Amino acid sequence: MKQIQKLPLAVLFFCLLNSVIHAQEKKEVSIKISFNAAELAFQHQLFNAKTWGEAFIGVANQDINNQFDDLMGGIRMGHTILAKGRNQIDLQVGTGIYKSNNDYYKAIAPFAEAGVRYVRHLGQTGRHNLLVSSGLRIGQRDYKQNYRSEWFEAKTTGTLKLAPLIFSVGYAFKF
Amino acid sequence: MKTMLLQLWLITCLSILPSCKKEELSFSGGDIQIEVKTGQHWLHDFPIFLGINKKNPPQFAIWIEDTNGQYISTVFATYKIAAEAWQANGGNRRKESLPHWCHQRGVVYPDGLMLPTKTEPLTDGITGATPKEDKTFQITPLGLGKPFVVKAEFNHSTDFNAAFPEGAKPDDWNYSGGDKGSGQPAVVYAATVDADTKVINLELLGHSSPDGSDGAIYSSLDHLTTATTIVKNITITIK
Repeated sequence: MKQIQKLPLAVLFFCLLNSVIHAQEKKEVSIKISFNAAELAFQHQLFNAKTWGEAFIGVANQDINNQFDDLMGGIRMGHTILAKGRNQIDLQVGTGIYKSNNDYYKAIAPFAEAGVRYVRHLGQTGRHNLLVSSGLRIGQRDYKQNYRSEWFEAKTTGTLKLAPLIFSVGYAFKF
Repeated sequence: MKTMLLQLWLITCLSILPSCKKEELSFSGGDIQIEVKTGQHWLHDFPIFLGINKKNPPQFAIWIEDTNGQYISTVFATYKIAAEAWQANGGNRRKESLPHWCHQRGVVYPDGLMLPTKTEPLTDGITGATPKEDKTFQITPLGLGKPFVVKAEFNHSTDFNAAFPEGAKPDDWNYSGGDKGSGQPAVVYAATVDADTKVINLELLGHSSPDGSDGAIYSSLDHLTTATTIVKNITITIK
């Protein structure tokens, strides 16, 4: 009797386990760093198993003061074009905003980007992953500066132009 | 849900496009326009490491003096000199970068140099990123009466030539700050704006002290090569 009672429990356990394993392919949290930015992203599958969407936020250092105190955030969509063994390659496009943070000007630059993402699954479960991303990013925003003294008021304009090349490495946890 | 997400993504893309609009200066009658046109050597190869170079624009300052040579106010200075934001300078404050501007301004900082510091950056003027292209300034006179003099000083790091070599020693006449120093000294331009001036170009007066030890202008340009073509021209237009 006890064995009979254990069977549904075992079936239920394996069903739950299967659902968890299936869910591993659904969501991902990642951290990526490059020489001028660090970002945190949350990814979820969209439409089908090969297509995903991602929201990201980060800090960066592309304005005048060369400090990691700028903010950036945005969304990306990606599609897996190759998945073989532990290796996966995705194409991705995204858009976002970049907010400068310095004492001299304020600028919020919109940007668009496109690139390739390589994912290397680590370990047995595939939860842990190494990421390498590269691509192009286009984004710039003009800003005004002014200075006023008793003698005159001076004004000029400048442009916050984001670095066009993206290359980052990171870690992703799938769940 | 998925369609909504896709729509949200598209709306976000479309909504940020208009924010790429260009900022422009709007001049009124009596305003003064200063246009800096970049020259052939505006961008200079600055060595980073292993033979890799970075194209660097020059450090520069534009300021106004009276006709007696008394400093009135800075209009613009580049960020590195205005806030002591040099990178990989090994603690060198780069007094040879824009010495004429520093001496005309005449502010002495705690270390005895006339260069703004990280803790006391320039406050009398606009501090901005060094532009890689032409740059325009708008001046609206308030208490500024004519005549007055507009001056500009430009300098590249490490633009060594035969007369100002990297290996010059501190006691040599052509010492310019060592291996990460100035190379050719800063060049100084000026023009006097009087009541009749409509359009005038700043003239190249000479170069500054190679090692930044004084604020004089040396009129001989014989030893300068690329430094004289950092700027194509600087034009003042009275609107």
